[in-house]
Amino acid sequence: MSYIHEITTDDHGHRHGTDGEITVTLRGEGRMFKRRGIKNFGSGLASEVCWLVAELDGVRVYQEGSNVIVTKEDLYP
Amino acid sequence: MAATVQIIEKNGAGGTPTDKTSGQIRFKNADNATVDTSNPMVKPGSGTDYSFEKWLRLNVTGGTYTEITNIKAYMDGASGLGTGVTLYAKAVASYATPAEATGTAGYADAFTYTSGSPLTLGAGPYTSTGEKGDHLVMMLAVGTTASGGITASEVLTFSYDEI
Repeated sequence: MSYIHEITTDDHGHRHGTDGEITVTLRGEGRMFKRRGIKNFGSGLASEVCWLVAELDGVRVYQEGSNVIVTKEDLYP
Repeated sequence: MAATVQIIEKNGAGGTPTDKTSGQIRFKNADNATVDTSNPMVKPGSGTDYSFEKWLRLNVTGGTYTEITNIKAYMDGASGLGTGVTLYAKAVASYATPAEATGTAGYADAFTYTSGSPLTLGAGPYTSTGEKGDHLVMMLAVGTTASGGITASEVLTFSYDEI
């Protein structure tokens, strides 16, 4: 199971998403959310995955662990 | 904090839920959540043997979150069920007692729903606890070219956005 990110907003309105080791900060407009998934459902060995997504002007940053993807694509785990 | 989410299978007239998040789903000729070899699918001499429907749904049991949106379901795009065995899927809003399917109208091959083209189970936003989004209704069709025995297992992914 991957860590489930925490998203907070500071006094300036900036959003911060962290998995406890890496923090992604979104300054100003845009949106930040968690894309969560239950994978391998039906196998008896399902696992949870959580991606942090920061989106600004149609460009998304997906972060999971040490992996970061920057794209305009709508990706699913 | 985060939402605590499970995937339930619903059975019977009242939609009795069974947590299947870490379990298995067995397509059979009966409406129950038991994974056993009772009421098996039968390779037909002609035509198609359809299973009873499986009604699956995302269920939030607790945790702390603001809203859930964009619920999706998808497969890996490559069926390992073997020749003559096809898995079908569709999204349905309102629960109905699982019945033995009689055809494929309204369904699509479940393996056409992939991470690049997932099945939408609700845009939301959804809040609080309880069942969320549409039901994922699935059924299995066995044709005359199928082999006997238990097929290989297949898996699917449920995905949703959360803030």
